[in-house]
Amino acid sequence: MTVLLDVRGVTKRFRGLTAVDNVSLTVTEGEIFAIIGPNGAGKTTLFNMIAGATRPDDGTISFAGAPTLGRTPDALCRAGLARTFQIVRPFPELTVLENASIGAMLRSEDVSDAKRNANSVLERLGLADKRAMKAKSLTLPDRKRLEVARALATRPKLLLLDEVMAGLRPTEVDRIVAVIKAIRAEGVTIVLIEHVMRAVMALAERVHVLHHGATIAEGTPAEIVRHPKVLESYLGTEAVH
Amino acid sequence: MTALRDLIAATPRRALAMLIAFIAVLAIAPAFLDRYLLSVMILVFWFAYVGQAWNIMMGFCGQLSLGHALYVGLGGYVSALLFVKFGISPALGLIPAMLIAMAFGAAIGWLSFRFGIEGVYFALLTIAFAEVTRIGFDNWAFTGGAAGLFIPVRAGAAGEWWNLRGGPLLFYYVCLALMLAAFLICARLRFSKLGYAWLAVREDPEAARALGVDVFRAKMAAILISSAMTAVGGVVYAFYQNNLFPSQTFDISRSIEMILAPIIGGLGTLFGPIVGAFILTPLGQALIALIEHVVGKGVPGANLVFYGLCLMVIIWFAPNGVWPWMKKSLGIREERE
Amino acid sequence: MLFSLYANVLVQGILTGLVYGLMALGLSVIFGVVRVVNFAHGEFAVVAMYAAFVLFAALGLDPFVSLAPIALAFFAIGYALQRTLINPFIARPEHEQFILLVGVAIILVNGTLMVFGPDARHANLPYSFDSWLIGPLIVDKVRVYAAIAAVLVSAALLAFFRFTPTGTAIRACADNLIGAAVVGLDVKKLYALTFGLGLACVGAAGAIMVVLTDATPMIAPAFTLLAFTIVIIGGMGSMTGALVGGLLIGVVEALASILIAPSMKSMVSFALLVAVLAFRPQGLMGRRA
Repeated sequence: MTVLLDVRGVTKRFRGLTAVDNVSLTVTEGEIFAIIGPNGAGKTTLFNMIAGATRPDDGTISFAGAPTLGRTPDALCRAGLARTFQIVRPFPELTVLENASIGAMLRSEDVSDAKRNANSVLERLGLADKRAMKAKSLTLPDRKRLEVARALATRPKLLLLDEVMAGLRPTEVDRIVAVIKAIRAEGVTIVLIEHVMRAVMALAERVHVLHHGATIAEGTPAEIVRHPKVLESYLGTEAVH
Repeated sequence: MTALRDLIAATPRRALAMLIAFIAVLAIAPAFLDRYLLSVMILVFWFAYVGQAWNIMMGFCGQLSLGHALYVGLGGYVSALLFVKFGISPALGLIPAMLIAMAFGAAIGWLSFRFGIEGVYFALLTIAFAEVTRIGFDNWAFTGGAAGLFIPVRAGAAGEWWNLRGGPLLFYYVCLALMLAAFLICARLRFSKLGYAWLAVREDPEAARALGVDVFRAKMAAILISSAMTAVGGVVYAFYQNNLFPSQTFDISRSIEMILAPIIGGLGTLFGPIVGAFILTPLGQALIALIEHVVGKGVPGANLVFYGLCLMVIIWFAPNGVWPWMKKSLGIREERE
Repeated sequence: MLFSLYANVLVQGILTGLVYGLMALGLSVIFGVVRVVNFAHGEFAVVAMYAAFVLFAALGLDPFVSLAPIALAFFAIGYALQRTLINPFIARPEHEQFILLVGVAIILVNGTLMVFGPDARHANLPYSFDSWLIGPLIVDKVRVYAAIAAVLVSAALLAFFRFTPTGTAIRACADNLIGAAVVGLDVKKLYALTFGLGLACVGAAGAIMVVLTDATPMIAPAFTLLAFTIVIIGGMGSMTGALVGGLLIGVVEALASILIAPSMKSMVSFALLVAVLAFRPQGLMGRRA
């Protein structure tokens, strides 16, 4: 079982606020790993550091055996690390197909080749019929799917999904869960930040819980759902006792 | 060339027919135009050309350069100096002209993109560079300083087309060729991997990075290509005017004149700069002629006031420019698959 | 001997810098609050210069006096401009705002060109050539009056922002726009007020400058660039930064003018601009990185 992502003792401070506090976790190839925690727990900051958008103040991160320090987000993407953004960032004036194609172009020299690949990714995410629409005219659920499609088009080894289920209806959640399972079946390792427990329970093999930037628990979904510290962080001390 | 064939294949027949007819008309037009109208059309083609070059940086890649006159000036001065001092034909002098312009572009690009200078700050930097260069040339005796550089016009030289020595007819076709070449180059670039990278950078650089786009390289490519193309425009400009003054050539009002056509025509589109130039330049010249007729003499600044108003009207009501609006009216549907 | 040369140059730089600072202050106020990049700043300054010139030529009004009505007029213009033209553009993409103001700049500069022609106009006051001798220093009276006027106007503006409820409200908008709206501040009106105040500064600065230097339409872009250089070096959004930046640039340009060459002085400013943009983009006193 090869370790694809190795985070050790990573800390990030913003002017006196410790956003991420000495967090360590490992993700093995082929697994679906979830990071959960109340809002402000530091999850997205952690993602930003893994993806190379922010530098950690302390600690190391290794992806596919090589340290990520000093590597730009685009270099990491070329190495196989793709991510989505919590607040979706489509290219508004470009069509859905063009959005996805730009992701696919990472792996193709030929533009029409990239477009073909993009088309098949869009089909998997159920966006094929909207391919000629400008991204800015998409609804939020479609934008989220486009975000995933675009990242997927880069043929990543590791896919970081940041709250892709937020704001979706249960049927939509189920659809994306199915897509994520299919992606994993093709060999893509997935780390997701999620609030929607329905998705976490359905997908994650292991869950890592953050609170105020620090790790408070790690285990299988069944384990952490009963973990007193986890309940405390979500529901407050009163609720647990 | 396959790219060109693909492009032609992708264009709807009606549009293609219109395009060919348009080019044909322009090709035979000189037979019907007097010297004055020829000179107007030369300006139209020239502004369409440099507008295309500028559009690569701003329309495609989203980098606002307000100092593009720098490259016009460099292109003009380098080729003119090589011709006047060393007898080197502009057909050859073109190359060093482009290279020097690209060097400046690379410097500006490296400084800005390496240090994350973007948006308005980047625009100010481009203005500053043009200004500094203007002052530099003003004080440089080798280039003629503030008194200017003159390209001698010898009567016997007319007909030396490789030296760009000739009448309006020569420049009409040279500029027309430039305009068409720029269009083809931009079309090719727009639908290439680099072109898409540019669009991604324009829309959202962070998201582009997350998809593996090398933002720095894309921006540098944009400024290098844009500066090189603009320099060629400078070469033609120098040999058409036969004189260069730093205070005019590098002036910020020149930089601003250059960007009016692409903005009003349609930023980021292929036809925008051409449409913009075809609308603005003749109208501006007509206004100048009208004022001369009515007032009895030229009123400097009048046509620019008019351009300023056009700019404001367009940015207010149709910020995407005239061309997208025209497309709808002409029934050319967006077929971006 | 050399000391007195440098001393004079330094003093001149400081005095000029204070006037530059006033002009830049207007820009800083506008950008710091309304977040609009007023590309037409220098152009407004030149219009003010011409206004002062016209009042001087036609009515014999000393620009130090006409400064007040001009500043008032510019306040009104700024207020109106913000409410009508600029406000709808606040939510629009940055480059569209910029281009709108480029349009305004084009119209202003070429409008003045149309009306006044390209020739230089200058207000030659009866005391324009008087100077005081203080030790080794030969100080022009007009420069001192100009500096004093600039300092007074700047101080008035700073006092307004510091001590009046409206001024505090405007600063609140700059700090936290949503918070300000939630608290019930009329943001639109405050924006218009701010733009008005910013242009009033420019108006005053222009009226002062016509005494010091020639007015031609062609210097407008140079003033715009100068104002931006000062504001960026001093720190975008910092009012004291604009004044400090103005002083700095004034001194730097004065020194460069004798150490290198008068025509090269702006090159040194640009070098500073580039250095600041690259290494300390928030400027000397800016608060936002």
